[in-house]
Amino acid sequence: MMKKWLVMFGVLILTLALVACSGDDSKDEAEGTKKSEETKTGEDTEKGTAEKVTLSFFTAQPDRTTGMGAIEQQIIDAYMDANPNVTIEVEALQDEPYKDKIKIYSSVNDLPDILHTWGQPSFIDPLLNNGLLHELNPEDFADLGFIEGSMSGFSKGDSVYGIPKNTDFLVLYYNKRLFEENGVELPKTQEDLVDVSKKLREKGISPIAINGMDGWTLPMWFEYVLQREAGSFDVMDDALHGNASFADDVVVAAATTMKEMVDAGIFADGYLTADYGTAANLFGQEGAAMYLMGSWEMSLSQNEDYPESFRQNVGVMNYPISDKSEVGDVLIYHGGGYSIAENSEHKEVAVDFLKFFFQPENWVKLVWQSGAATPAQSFDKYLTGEESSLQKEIIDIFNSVTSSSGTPVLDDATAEFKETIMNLHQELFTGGITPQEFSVKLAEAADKVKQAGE
Amino acid sequence: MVEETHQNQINIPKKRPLRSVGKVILYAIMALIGIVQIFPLIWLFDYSLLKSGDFFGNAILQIPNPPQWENYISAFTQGKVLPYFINSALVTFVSVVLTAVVSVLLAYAITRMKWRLSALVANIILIGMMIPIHATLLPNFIIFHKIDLLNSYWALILPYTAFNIPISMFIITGFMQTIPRSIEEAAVIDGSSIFGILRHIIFPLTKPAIATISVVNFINCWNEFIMAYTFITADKYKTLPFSIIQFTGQYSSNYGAQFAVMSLIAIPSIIIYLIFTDEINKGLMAGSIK
Repeated sequence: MMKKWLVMFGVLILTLALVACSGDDSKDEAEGTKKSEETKTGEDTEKGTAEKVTLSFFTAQPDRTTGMGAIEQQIIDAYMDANPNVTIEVEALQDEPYKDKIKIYSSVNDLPDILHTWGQPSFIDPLLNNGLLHELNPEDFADLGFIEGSMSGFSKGDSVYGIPKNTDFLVLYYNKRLFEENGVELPKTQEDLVDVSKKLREKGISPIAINGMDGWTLPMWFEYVLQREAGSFDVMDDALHGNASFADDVVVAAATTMKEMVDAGIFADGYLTADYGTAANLFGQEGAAMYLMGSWEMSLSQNEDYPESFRQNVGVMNYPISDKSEVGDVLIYHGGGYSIAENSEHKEVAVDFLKFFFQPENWVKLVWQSGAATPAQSFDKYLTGEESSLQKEIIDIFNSVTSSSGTPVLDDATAEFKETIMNLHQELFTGGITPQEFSVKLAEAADKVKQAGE
Repeated sequence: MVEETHQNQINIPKKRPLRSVGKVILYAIMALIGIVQIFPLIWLFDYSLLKSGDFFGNAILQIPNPPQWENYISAFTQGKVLPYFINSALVTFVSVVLTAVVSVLLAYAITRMKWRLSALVANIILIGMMIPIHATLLPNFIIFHKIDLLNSYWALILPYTAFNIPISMFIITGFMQTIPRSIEEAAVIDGSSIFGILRHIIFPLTKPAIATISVVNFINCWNEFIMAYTFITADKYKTLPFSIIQFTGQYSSNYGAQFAVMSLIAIPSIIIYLIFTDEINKGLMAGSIK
């Protein structure tokens, strides 16, 4: 009896040991392994005896059937059709897991050949400082119509390490029907915005839907309020990288204005516990009259999830101004893009793919015409005239830009600073800290960033 | 006798309404608890039939109008529920069985056998309970990377098993200490070997504890995602939680389809739970004499 058990147990242990040591043989055929097999096809099978290349492509767009993920996949498939010797294996995770796994890949110096990057210090600096990204030649992308300065976020000195794929700007969506039926005018200034919100509240309608729980929209809004207070977007940059400080009076004034606006009730009730989907649905189900969100939501008017009456009445406008600012002062930046890993064995192929990807008739055309996002390249050529009214209004805002913010302040420093500034906003609005304390704590966080940079 | 019948005649009419009122209250409370327990499942299923745009409304439950059965279709097509389900089932099954076998053997060695360092070994294994998963991700990734184990079933089975062993061993050890040694002594006198004892005495008697840890371990492995996305990139080995992220866009997601996937993922958990609770109860009811 005992022998039988011993034998069985021994077999189990041996199997484990064997499998652990030998690895999984079938793995070599598995998709997604990062081994790029280089088999020279010596036989005269095809004329193009190009070596077989496998590229790994890591993206933060898990949904491959809608929006930007679908366009990405479409171009990848087209490239593989055009280059039969190249296989591109896609790995996709959503933002947070994506960032976690990038850290893991970085620490074993084994980044995927092509990876999605954000042209913002809070994400890209660790990669740049450790020399993990391949330097790209801007000449390769010179005639593709990239917007002036769009690559700056992906640059270190004069070297470029990534190519931007989007232009994002923060706008105010609104529901025309709710405004008209309740006899409310569109807000032109921030004072108007407070009045409008009060009027809407009297009628039992929530004013602005915003995803306060996610935390990142509030600092972006702060950037607008500060610009309206100071008349320039430079205050933020100077406070982070220059001679100004977040403890300056103008910042305190802006924080006070924010607090007053919040206390006056410009945001829908429960905005601090609303995440992205909650805020979007509150607006889409016509529960809120406005929605402060990025330009990427321009497909709202085509979203079948929402009622017909909403889709026909959704409009978009610039964020309200003050006497110190003009309509063209827009919070606009180029967030996402692609980089190539320094450890890649096939950099030429990867560069070739990126060139193909950013050809105007590929990315620019597809992403604009599907309404998924605004590209970081000029897209005038691809206006079909068939655009939805919402898309047209987005173009108007895009063309109205006279001064731009560049990278939003929360992403313009370290990951720690980002966390701090998001938390400070939530504390300010819940009454945990005063506007003065808010600006002092923000200044402290910025000092930490400056010291680390020295 | 006379008095008894007399008492009965008087008391019964008095007691009956009392009893039934008590029963009604008891059943009402139990029904309430039952509803509270089951409600999340109802909610999950209800939301899996909604459009994404209907989510986060003011109503807790919404009547799907019309029910979006397409959500389930997308779960099977775009969400690849079926192949991922097979992977999940395989990984979970092997991990749970492996954990149970190793934990029982460990617990036996620690509670019944006298050997040097046994207390030390037991404590080292128990320290495993305090190790956070995140702390192990990077070292494990590096090790698996070196021995070429990334993208295999073992990349999940080994860490899952390792993480579940400490608490499982702890529970089984506690349970084993309550089993009287006289049964084993009798078996030894009858000429049974150690493995004989394990098979005929220890295993049947610790069944309830094994059932308990298996349920917990099943749920841990079935829903695990952090290690899965760290060690797995190949579609071939992906587990069920990956189905949910197939519907995650850059900013908003296809919530309806995600809920459909979650409803499907919940079914095996419920079934396993029903099977095992029965086993746990049986084990507790049965005496130790068989």
